[in-house]
Amino acid sequence: MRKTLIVMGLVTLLAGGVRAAGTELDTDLMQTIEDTNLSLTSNIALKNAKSSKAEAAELHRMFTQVESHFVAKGDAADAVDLSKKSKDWAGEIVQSVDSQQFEHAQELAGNISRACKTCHNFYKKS
Amino acid sequence: MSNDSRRDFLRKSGLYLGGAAAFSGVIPGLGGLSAAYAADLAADPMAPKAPHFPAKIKSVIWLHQEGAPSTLDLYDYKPDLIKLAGKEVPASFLKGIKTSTQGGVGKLYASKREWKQHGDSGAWFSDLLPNLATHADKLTFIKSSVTVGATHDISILKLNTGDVNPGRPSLGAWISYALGSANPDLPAYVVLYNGDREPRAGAANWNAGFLPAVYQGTPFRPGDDPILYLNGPETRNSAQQRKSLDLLKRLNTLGAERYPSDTELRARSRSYELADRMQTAAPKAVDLSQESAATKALYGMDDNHSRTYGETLLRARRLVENGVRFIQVVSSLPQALATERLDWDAHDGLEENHKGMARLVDKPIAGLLADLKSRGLLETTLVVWTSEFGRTSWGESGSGRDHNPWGYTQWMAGGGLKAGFTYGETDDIGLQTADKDKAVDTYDLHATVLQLMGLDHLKTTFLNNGRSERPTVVYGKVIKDILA
Repeated sequence: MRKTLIVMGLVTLLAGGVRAAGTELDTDLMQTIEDTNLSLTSNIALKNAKSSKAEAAELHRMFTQVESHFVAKGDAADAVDLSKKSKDWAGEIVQSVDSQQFEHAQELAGNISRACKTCHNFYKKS
Repeated sequence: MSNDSRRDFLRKSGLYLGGAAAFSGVIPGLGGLSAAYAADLAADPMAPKAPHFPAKIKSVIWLHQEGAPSTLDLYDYKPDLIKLAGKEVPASFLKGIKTSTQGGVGKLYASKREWKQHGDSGAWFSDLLPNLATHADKLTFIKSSVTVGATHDISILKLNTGDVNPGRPSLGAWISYALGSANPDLPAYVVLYNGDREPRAGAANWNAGFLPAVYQGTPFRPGDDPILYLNGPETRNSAQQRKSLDLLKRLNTLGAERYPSDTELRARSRSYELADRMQTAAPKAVDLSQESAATKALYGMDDNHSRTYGETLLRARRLVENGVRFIQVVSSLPQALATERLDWDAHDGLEENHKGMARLVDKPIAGLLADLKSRGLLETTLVVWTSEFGRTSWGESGSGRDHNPWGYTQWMAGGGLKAGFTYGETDDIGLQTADKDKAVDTYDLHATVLQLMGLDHLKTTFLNNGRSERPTVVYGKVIKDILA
């Protein structure tokens, strides 16, 4: 019975994954990324370490989701690359803020903003 | 206790409590008013402030070519576009862009230009700009400019403020805020235009947004009387005016004490005082009668076609000499010289339009560069040729070009730059920036101008409703490759 439940769970997860990969990225997620990045930029400028770290970690989590989406979707090498880079930059911001390197953190946040813009330019509907 | 005393007591108690609460940030709506900001408000907001690092330049002359010229017909020589003229745009060039030309993307279009390389740098110029071409080695071209393309009003707003929505401060306002004024008798930020009416979208393009209103640009009108009502009425002498202003100042100071966050009132008070001082300083600063005939001719003022633009640029030079930090100059053809189109916006009739517009600006800009150079001012001044976007490689209406935000040319000249240098390029038909990593958006241009003024765009910040804002929003990258 336990094995059956595990198999059913896996099938459900896979089916869900395929459905997600076949659909557009959730616009709420993209909006949340944009808002979080805006707030993160402000918090780094204000040297608010606690909020900066929390928001960078949140961005890291969301970019992981975006990367997985484009990997599953396929034929989106640029989006995979840009979301991976953004995820890595978000992780690096956490480390930079930890070591009080706010200027470097601000540059990394700028990289994320530009990556978002580049990606949207690549994939906007023409 | 009388009623008056009781009211007075309550008012003062409220003010003291309110003041204490505001400084500790507990009053809703005033939460963002920090003690430091309040102290700044109390001091002279236009007092000179130190830059973040030594500045390369002291002033900026921001030449906005309103209507968006086709830089494909001025600076961006594309032999392939000439070869392919009359053919459909190859699909490979359209990849990644969303077009919205009325009637669809037309066939590739080449105007009847003659092209030549100039100076040691070998920069290309078309026959439309013969005078500017002689200054090729002073210019730093950015041939990979991009922006958000929409209507003129929206893209002009982005060009000047960094955002497509109104409400953000213009670049000149940020510079005034960050550096204060170098001349207390003149505004730090002046807007000049040579057309018969105010530029498109007006004051939104030189406003202070969420910065205190004192940092907004001050428009000077074209012609012999650039500042309205500069002279007082004959019935009142200067001593009477001074007395009246002193009374007004006392009343406004009382008002400002009661409403410390009212930056409009503070800006207005300052503007009265500035206006008083300007009555002496400004006429001299903008009076072109003191200039020689040779200088006026250098600026094209001896040609009726370029006279008005020459006047604004000569005035800009005089303002630079007088310590004005940011001079925003908007070009347009005066009504007397045009039939219906007054700016560079050539959706049709590009040949005639660009001949007229180029003749308007070519000699004056060349004159400005020569004059600044000969006076030793070019090393400390930045001249920027900019526009809201460029124009497409394909034709529109058979004789014009549509808007192009994907790849166009802007240039800068002056201190701190690699002169006679070109950064970036467009593709073989001049439609899109060839290397996207070299794309220069408005934020990047702003970050670079700020850098030359000694300001780090990441550290030029203002606390607005609890959020730290900067001129480049969340973007901006200094174009380091063009810096000397």
